Amino acid sequence: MAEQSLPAVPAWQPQPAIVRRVRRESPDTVTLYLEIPELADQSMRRQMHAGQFNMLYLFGIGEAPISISGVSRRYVHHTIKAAGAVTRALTELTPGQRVGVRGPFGQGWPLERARKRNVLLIAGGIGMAPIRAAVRDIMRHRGRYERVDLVYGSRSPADVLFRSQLERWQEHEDINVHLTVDHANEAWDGPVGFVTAMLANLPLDPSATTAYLCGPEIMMRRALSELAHLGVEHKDMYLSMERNMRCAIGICGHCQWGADFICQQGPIFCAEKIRQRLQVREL
Amino acid sequence: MKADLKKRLKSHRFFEGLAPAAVEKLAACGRVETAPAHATLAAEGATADRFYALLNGRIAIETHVPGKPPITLQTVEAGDIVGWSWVDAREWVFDVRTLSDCELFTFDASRVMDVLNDDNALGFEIMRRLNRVVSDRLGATRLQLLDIYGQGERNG
Repeated sequence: MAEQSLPAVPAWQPQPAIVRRVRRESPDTVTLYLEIPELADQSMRRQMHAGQFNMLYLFGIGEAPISISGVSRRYVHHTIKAAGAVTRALTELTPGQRVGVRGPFGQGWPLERARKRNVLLIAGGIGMAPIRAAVRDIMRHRGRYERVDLVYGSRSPADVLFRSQLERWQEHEDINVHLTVDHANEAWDGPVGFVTAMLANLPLDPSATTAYLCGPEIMMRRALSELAHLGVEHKDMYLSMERNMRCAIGICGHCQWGADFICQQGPIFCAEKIRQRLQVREL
Repeated sequence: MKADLKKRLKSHRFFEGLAPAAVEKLAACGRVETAPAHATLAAEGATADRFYALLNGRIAIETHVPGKPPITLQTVEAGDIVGWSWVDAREWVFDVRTLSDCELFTFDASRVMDVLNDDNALGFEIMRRLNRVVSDRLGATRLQLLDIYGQGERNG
């Protein structure tokens, strides 16, 4: 796994962060660009890593685990979909408002496992958020990798996240973006179909490919199965798992999944380690 | 030209690994065609007397609702097959329309069926492969219907 830094402050203590920018990604999803004054004297990139998550705390409302969708020198980016009370309130923040941040927690994407290999990133829905952070890291060090493919499935054209960034990557960066939607509208002339249907058409060299997946668990199970069918080994596939993270420091047990706490040993797991567990329905 | 036809068919994902003699028999049942973007290749209700192996481009499988634009159910790309209603001589169930300039191998369904009836081993192999296509599309359609991105466990 990627080398991780320890939180600079007690992990149970939220640090105040200032919302510096808000970008609406879709009708129910926004990206917050957060500045954390406590970390201002250090590069944010040394503190936060793609694949990790922070607990975002709104005073008087509650706390939610949100993955890191990007890190720039001064800001950490969080892309949030309004679903419950906390996430809805987070999506309603405006520049200048404050939010509490605990973290970062968990293991990041092990991108070093893909050095000198082809990279296949597969995202579904809001799972594109942590994949975006991985893509940004890969693009920053593009020479370390061979062919890079991003396969992203979304509910509808209106739900596609990071639309302008995807277009920019496709046009100006050395990455192949494959976007599909489950339900199209009249204006959409791109691919329509479930994200796994795109995998068979990729020029995949299975023994030279490392895959990183994030999305609904059903989608990831199907993608694992399809990739294995195409010849990619489980040791070369990594998934970002999601459970009910509360304390994020391995105490409360809400996110226990088999022998692991997702907040500590996860959220990124190698498929070789967890593929049997993915079939245990009680977990 | 004939050799080129066989070579192109053999490189298509659906026909990969078939014996040269089998490819030759199937290649004799069709021809390579081009179609411009937005051309109708099949219409719901018409006799399913052919099917397509897409060589280049993108095709939409659509249905229609009165007074509304067509609804795209799925798109297919190079390496995919379009059409299986011909197996039991039915009608097309959906419309098929090109979304870009396309190059396709168009098969005459009755000639293919004659070949498969004469060569049962090849017939079984083609039906096995066709079953995989149908099964994959059914599985994907079930997941599309679940709307899993709309109600996932993840919020960010």
